[in-house]
Amino acid sequence: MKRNNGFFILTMWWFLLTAVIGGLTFFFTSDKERISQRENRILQNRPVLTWSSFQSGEFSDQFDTFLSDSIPGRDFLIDISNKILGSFSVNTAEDLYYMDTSQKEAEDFVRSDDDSTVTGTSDKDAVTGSQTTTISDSDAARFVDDTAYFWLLKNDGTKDTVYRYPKENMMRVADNLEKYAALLPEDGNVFFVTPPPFPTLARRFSQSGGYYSGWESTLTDNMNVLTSDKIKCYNTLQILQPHILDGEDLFLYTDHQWNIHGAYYVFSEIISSQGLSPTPFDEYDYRVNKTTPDAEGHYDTFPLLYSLAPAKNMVVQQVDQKKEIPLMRYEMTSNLAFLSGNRTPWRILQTGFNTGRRALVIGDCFNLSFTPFLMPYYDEVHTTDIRYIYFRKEQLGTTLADMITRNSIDDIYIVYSEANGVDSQTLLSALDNNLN
Amino acid sequence: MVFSSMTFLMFFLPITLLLYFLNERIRWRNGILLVASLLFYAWGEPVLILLMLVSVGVNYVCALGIERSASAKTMQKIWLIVGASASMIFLLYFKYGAFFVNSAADLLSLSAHVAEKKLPIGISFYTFQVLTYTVDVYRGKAKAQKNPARLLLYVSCFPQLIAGPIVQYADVADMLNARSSTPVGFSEGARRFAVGLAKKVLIANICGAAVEALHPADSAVTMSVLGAWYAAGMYTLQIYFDFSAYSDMAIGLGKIFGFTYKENFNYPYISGSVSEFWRRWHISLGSFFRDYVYIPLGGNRGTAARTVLNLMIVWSLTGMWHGASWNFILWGAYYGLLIVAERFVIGRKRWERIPYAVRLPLVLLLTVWGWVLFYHTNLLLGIRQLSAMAGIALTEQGVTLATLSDPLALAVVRKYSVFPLIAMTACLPIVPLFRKRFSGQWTEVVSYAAATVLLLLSLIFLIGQSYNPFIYFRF
Repeated sequence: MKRNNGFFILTMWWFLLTAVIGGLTFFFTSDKERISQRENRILQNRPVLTWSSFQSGEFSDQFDTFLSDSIPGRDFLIDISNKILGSFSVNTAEDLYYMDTSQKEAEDFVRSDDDSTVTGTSDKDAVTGSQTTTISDSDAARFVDDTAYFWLLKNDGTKDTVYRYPKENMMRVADNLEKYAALLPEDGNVFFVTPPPFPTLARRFSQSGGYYSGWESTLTDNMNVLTSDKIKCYNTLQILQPHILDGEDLFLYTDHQWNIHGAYYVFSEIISSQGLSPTPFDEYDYRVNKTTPDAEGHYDTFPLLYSLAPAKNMVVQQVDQKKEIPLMRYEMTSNLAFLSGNRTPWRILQTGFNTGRRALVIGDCFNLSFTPFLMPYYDEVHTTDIRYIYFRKEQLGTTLADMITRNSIDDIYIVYSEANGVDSQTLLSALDNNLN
Repeated sequence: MVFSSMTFLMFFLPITLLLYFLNERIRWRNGILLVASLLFYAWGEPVLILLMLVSVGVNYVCALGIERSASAKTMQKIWLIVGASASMIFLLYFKYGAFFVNSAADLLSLSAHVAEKKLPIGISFYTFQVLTYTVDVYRGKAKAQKNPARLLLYVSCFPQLIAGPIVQYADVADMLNARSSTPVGFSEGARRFAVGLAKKVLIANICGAAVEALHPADSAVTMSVLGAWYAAGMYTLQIYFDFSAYSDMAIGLGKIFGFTYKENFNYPYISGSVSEFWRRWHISLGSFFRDYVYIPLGGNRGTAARTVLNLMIVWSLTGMWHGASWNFILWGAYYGLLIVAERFVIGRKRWERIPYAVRLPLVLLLTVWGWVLFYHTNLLLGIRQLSAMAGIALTEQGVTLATLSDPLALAVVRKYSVFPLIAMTACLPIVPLFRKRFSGQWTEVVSYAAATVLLLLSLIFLIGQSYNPFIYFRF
């Protein structure tokens, strides 16, 4: 009997303890913005309860994330769980790299595809499909007619398909881009860039032990045919290829993003194609930071640029409520150091230059290391990320079309990684849904 | 709300327990449990709770009608039909409406398609529970509940509201009126809850991460043989630990609050036949279909052909219950055919003469194939994975041999090499055997100590886990 009472007291303590931890977490968590460098993301703040947020389920999701994001000693506890998991596997550092990068890529897909406001989109399986098969040269010539491809080229002259892009998706994205171009002045352009997340190349190419000789993509050719002259599409795969084949590191190893050098090569191509000279990389002063080590202790180093002119970085809420934040977070150990991260819903970089032009960059985290290079070419560079997890028109208080005209934007850069690219709801739907 | 969420573990459950045990009167306790259950359901889907309220309200009236028309059989039938229709209409509209319309449109080559409705969480479970109530009253197996709040509590009681087990009204009718919560029941229920939480967080979620990794976002990828088999195996583990975890937590919570729910799983992966598998897997669903569909259809009382027909109807419906998609119907029919084959083609006695060591892997193999069908709502992808498991790569360009392995599959296998062995061991009835062999107080001490460690580990893992949905929530 005594022992039974002991079990009762023990189990009661379980619930009591969880309640105490919950209470402490809820009442003593600061409302200030918190960033997890380990996870490369801004942690969830205490959500505000409104009827609409409760009714949509947003509050409950945010509240749960807030609790798990705010538990005291969170990083330590995550380390423990990672160590326990690690002790149950016999993986190598290379395996971890494969797994981590592929999962991150998958997460991006999930985020971009999980847009409940979108219905009737094309079959994802047909859209994001990848298969190992041999494509003949005659197939390669079929672009524009039906499907575009991203292939890895084998040493024996055949190709493996990594992505297929149905024409209807390309046309829909092209239509969306045209709607943005229509808002720009006559000399304004939409620049369209879809960098590949590293796993796409790494999984199939970098680790193939010489099985592949390179890659090619017909997406950009298709998009250029489907769009007007105001829209400039850039084949990032082709731009980066010679550099990667030369052994340059253009992507982070501890993350799925390109590094500043990868971003710079694509920036240079865009600027050069406009008849301008790209600012030489060595004109920038920078400080070299290390990323937070991954579970195996591997880390990247990355140069964090200092602005060429006195610049300001502002977060915009509700159209005109501006709050200044640091241009770069020099103490940070992840890609969020650039521009102080991908904060929403709208950002304005006052560049300190006088060119008479303004740009808008619509992009995911790949824009963070890319956008600083645009600063010498514009008075202001605005940024936003229209993925539903980051952007809501209600939060901004107006539409993208209004923001574009209100801020007299001259050029728009669309910088979404392949995962949020032509086959994702980001470009297929969110781009259109958020415009008006 | 899910059991394995921080909100539930840190706020909802402790506060509900506190309020519940502060009052000793059953009316208060039922009231607190009802309010908590409605809040539990409304958390995230407040508007859709109206469907459940309407369904319960109509069936409350209908059951009273059935009882009051005891002498008029036709009137009773009318009440039953009204009650059943009121429950089923929501299920049909939300779960199957778009599927039926779109399938018909496809069949007739029409372009008109409708968008799928957002499925109210747990609608398949609570609809069946409401149905059992009205049918049990109609059959005279239970008395109509005079107190609508108690009926609503039966349907909405949060431990089993969202993902079962499907509790038949007759099994808990008395407990709604009077039940006792004892310290022993509390601690045993809490222990069961902790074990369930650990199965979900420490096993199912990790298996799920492996399954996700092996089914990459570019989902039309032709899987290697290794990748296809490993994904199928890990999903087999995931779905068992995921669903049985929820049942464990539900049964444990029920016990804390003084309810005794029937077991829903009994080590299904040790089954020596397909029919035995279904006697061990999702027992409450099997019981429902047996009692409310198979037996009313005539069961096995007619000719062999009639029994086969009844079995195929029941199994197709079982498949459909899981989702409005062809893969689920095919999956149900697949089990229907297997059970028909086991019973009428091979014969049970002949099957049982085969050594268990041969039957077990055969049944497991059939189960794993079944789960591949179950996993892919896109039937083509399921067929592709099954083909890859057979070494054949199906692509749009034609049929080729599948590659034996690929770097990602190898990485996943190495990462999860030790882990599946632990999970597979946990599929065996080791704990019951251990308790039988070493019964006594010290066994209890060890089990509570282990449960405490498991609870702590689960909480630690929960903090960093983003992969946390219960698979059976979507049904």
